[in-house]
Amino acid sequence: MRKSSEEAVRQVLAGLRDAEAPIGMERRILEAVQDRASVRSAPLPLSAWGGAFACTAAVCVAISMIHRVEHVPIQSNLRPVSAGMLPIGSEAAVKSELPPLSQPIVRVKANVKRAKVARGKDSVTLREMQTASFPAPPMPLTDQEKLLLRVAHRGDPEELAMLNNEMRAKQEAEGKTEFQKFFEPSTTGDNE
Amino acid sequence: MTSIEECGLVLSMEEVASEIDLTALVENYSTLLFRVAHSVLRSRAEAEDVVQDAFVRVVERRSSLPDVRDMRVWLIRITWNLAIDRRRRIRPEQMDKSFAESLVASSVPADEALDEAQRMKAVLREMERLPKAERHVLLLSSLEELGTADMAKVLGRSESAVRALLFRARTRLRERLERGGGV
Repeated sequence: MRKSSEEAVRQVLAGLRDAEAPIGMERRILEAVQDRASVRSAPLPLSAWGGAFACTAAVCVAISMIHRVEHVPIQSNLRPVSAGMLPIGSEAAVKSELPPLSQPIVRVKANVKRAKVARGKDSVTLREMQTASFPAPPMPLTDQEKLLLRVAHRGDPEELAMLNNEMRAKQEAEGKTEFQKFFEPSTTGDNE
Repeated sequence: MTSIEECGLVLSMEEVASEIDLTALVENYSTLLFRVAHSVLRSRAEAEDVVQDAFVRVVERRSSLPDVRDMRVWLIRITWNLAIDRRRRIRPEQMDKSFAESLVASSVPADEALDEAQRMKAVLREMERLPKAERHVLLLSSLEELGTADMAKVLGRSESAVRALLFRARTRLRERLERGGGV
């Protein structure tokens, strides 16, 4: 039994040791790896650069056009023309000079709509500016808090130690003792 | 325009240099790495995929190649880790069954071949049940290209620890197989 188990283990390990690589593995690996390497380091072709420039230019032109359209004044399309101010004989000429009626109305409507949207945006912005911000700003610090902050940030060990009640009491007691020691003999001496 | 062309030329020269190195690496180490991966996965297709992944990693870390002291051990370690990672994601039982069947000689009669394949499967199953460190040492020891020092470097252990683990793995495996009676 022992022999057979050892033999089986040896056979399995030998099978692992003698495993042969599939035919053409090296070539496949090299191809795959070189593909990956070329993808990683290939410079952009000139056509790609050209495309990128063209896209950028198109975007710039589009932006400038949008900007120009938005800034067309509404009044420019609403040139008031009163028939009473013109001579009677020139009505036909006025009609011929005036652009067709339907087109400006549409344009005016569009401009009015855009102006309304802009006004709406302004009002929203104003409302946002005027409303109280949330969360509320922190309360101002009290004098004690400011003092504490200053002491803590300066990090003076003596001052920090003074914040500890026990240490402060001890220091005061020591000071008092020293004071007593220093002054008691001299006062008695003076009395004498 | 000239600068772009010059840049392309430099890149292509660098590429050529790296390709030469890469070709040499693949030629020298792919078989060994295949065996390393196969010892863990017991599937030729999966092992080839792992070797390919390992070389892709090498390409990705091309800049750090000059710092590698022992290229062989470094590559083995990458492959070993990738293979172990992949084994968690595949169904190893199926792989072990196919591998066990492939170990049986084709000249053996069908009923004997079936018994033999069962024995091999039992061995592989018990190997998988070994503690991780012992199993890893046992699997690496099957590769004759790797000595104890190499195994120690790949597994990040001392040589004496590797020897002790290998001894324990063999003993435990034999005991379990004898107790189980599968062999």
